Amino acid sequence: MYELSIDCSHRGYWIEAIAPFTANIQNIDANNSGLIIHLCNLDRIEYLQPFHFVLLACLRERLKAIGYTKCYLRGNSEVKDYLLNMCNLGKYWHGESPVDFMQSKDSHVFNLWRVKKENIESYSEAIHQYLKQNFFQKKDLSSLKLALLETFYNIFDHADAKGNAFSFIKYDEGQQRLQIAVCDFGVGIANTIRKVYPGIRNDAEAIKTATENTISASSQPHNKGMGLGNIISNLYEKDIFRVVSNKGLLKLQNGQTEIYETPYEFKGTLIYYEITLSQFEDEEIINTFDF
Amino acid sequence: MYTIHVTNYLKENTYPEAGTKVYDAIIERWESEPKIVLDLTDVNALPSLFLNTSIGKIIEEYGSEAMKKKIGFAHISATQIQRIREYVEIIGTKVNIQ
Repeated sequence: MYELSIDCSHRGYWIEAIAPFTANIQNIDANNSGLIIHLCNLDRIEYLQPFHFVLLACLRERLKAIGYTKCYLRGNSEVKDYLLNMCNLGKYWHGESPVDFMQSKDSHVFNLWRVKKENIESYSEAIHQYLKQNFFQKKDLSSLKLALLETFYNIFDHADAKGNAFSFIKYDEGQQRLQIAVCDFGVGIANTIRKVYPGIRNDAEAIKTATENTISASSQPHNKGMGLGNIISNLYEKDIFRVVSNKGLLKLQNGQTEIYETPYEFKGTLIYYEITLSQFEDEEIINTFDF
Repeated sequence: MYTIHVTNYLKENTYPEAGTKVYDAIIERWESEPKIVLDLTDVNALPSLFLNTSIGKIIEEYGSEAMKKKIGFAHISATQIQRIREYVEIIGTKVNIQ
């Protein structure tokens, strides 16, 4: 039985633990088909962020794909109970019919969803309608739905994730802010961009390039490169937007973009961001519009 | 004037597919109609994957100025107007560079 310890005291440690483990996972003796994941320094449910869920899910999906039938979580009992019973994580990989989505008992959580192309539009619409009907009846939340659609379609247009992509969304009612995380274990944004722009210096620059509106990997007829830019354009100044992919990290807040090269390689893409919903305008319909 | 109800195309198609069908409907009437109106009743999002296969393609073929003269919108939200303006400017610039 193998063991993986993840220090949850800082966001970066979580990714630093999972990224190299995932990269080397094929080298592990597949006859030793169990893994224990120790969640260290995570003793309050409030510390759980959407990116924790999607990284864990993609890891579990990869483990299952290469034959690991058993995976155990060790850590704080309250956190474990939340993950396994409130969010029903076990249902996604066990039993005869693993689920792609199961409603969480926490009403502010849009639970883990195995991103599938045929459900992108209905799922985005369901989130849009839920928020509009329950919290923001008069607001025009169309930009939110737009951001979700662009995020999800990005996976199928670029990632080649072979079904290993998950999202998790949480609504912070106090801050009126939606926290969104989407992760896939595909080829990574930098590798995708480099196919079209081979002169880019490093993975961090590649991620930054991918956020520019006129840049496109042109991987599909409908893809002209405005996906990530559309997400960013809907963010409030204090909202944070982050992308981790290959050996690059991008962070955007208050209109400032920072990019870093990471010491680890993450084979995939993790996008996580916040949207402040109270900043959206009230809905206003105009009868006719000409340029 | 000819009106295209976009929601009818979105009901049974993905966004890219709906965009292509809207493009086809526009092209069919491009020469014969002085004005073509896209009615956005019950349409609450205009993602790039719809715009790219519909008016984006029109801009590529005829240019943004021709598109702006021919295409109008009905029952459109203020947010959507801003979105379309930004989109047309970006794609129009991209087309001009090429």
